[in-house]
Amino acid sequence: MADVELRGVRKRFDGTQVIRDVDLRIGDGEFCVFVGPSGCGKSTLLRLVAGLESVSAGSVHIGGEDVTARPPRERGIAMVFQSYALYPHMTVRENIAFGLEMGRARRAEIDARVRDVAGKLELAPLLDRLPKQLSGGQRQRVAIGRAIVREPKVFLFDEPLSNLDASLRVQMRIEIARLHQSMRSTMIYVTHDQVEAMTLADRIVVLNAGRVEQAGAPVELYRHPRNIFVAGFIGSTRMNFLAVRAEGGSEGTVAVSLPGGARLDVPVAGAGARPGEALTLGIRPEHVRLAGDGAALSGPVEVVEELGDEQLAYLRASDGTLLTARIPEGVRLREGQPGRFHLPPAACHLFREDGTALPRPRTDERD
Amino acid sequence: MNARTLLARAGFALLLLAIGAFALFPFYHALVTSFRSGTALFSPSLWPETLDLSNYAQVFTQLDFGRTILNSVLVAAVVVALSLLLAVTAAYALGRVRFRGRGALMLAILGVSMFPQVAVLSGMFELIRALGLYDTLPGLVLANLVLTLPFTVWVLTTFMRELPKELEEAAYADGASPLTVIRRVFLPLLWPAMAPTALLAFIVSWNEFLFAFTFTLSAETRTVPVAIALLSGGSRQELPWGLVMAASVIVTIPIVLLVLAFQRKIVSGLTAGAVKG
Repeated sequence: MADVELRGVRKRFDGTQVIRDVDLRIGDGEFCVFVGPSGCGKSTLLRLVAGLESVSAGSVHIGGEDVTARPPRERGIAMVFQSYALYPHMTVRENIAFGLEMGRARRAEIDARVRDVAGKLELAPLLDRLPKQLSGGQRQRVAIGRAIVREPKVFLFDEPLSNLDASLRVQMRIEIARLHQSMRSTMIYVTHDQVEAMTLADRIVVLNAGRVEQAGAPVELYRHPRNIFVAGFIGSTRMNFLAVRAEGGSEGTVAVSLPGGARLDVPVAGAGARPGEALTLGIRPEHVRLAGDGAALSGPVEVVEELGDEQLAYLRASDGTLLTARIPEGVRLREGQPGRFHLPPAACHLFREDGTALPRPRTDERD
Repeated sequence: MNARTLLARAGFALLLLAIGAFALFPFYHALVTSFRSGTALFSPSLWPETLDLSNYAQVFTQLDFGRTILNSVLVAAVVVALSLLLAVTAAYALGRVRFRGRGALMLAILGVSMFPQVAVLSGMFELIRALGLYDTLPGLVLANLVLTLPFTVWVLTTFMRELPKELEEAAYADGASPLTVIRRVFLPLLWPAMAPTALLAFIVSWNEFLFAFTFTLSAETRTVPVAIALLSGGSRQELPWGLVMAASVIVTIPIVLLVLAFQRKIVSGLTAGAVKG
């Protein structure tokens, strides 16, 4: 078991910079999730850790050793691929045993360990089948089995669940979480799925255009996004953003005027917010209320999406912005009717023009 | 079924029959002729009157045909083995490794196969003499590789490119070395492409005449096509057609058997199930 450290890592492919100066330390036994939009470099970063790509600059350390120049087999890693990448000509047993054979383990030991892993992943009855005779979920379990049987220092997962259907994905997600609990080894997991990131991670690393935007615990990223990109990226329904104007700020609050004229005192550290400065106000759809304190925006409700246990309502504000609200079931909203969305000040985020967030107070524990 | 489709079917059947006859008649003629001797050789009859095997016996007793066949088999087998070995490793480099000038190299390999044999003949002759391989079987192997390598490399490279890259990466992550990856992962998956390629290379080498004719001198190093071409009768004016035909039939049989054997080995869809698809 080991920690992973990236120091000043850069990667360029034929002149395009894919990874720019990434410094990152992943602790021993940590479950770290890389998220980001497609093309942000998250898979590349994982492959740099694996040694499947070589860094253009910087260094990679695993367990305190510099492994930058070492091939994958000397790094003590195991990887699970999005496409499973099972060896099609080998049975499940041979697939799982392949890595052990490479490690020159003894026949009897290989057998014992393959059986052990097959038992853990409920693959025992499938050991003599070929990959083409397995379902998607079974193939994925074989791919995971192939990784865990080698007892690597670090596990790398490259979007392992994105080829599975929704219900199976939830089931495998739980299985991976259980696996991490029982093995306590360092895991790095790449995904573009919000829910996977939030539920599995000890720490989420949000990547954008080859840079780390923010790294932290899921709740930390949800409550205290450092900038507008992280705020928009984290959260299963995207945060609403409104162009507002600062009216004045003090130590602990910034007064802003909303489109339509209403004033709102947002409790963020406002030192340095000049009156008249253009800011962006962010509020998550789940925090928007139909009644209560705080300033309100009014406008026509354009669309209501019924999700069963809740509804998503879209309101067109006076400046043309479309605001989303998650509303509990039972509340009647009609499309085309005028509506009012209240913005509780304590749930609001403020971002400056360069995208950085004005820090919110740490005492708030609401969500 | 109405008259029109019946007519179309009959026409199609006739066409098939014509193509089949065109392709098979020469071989049939050789087979029939190989059972004849003396003046019967020039009988216009299409059917064999007698089943006279004396030509076959003569091929092996009068000529050292066993030795000749062995030469051909040796040369073809070594050519196939070397071609596959070189082509698989080359295909790995050309299909998987990114390097400068890869496209140019592929074109050069293709270009080599476009030269007519005669164009390289004198150069090859110099090369083989310089290497001291004149009138030896290794010399023929070297010459035949010039004919087989371009297409074996091309076929295997295109096939290698089709294999999912993750398979290779999974093997690296599993701790395999590049040679192990080729041996344990690529070779089994390339088998469906290698079998027909090997067969083609074998046929090319088996049928090769010009190099074998030019680079050998003695009867001990002759291959089948040369030996058949050099068969001579009692006098200048007499060609031993019976012997020629019997020998031709004998050397066709191994090829037919090989094709039949390989046909079963060519397993399709072996990569199914490797990745989601």
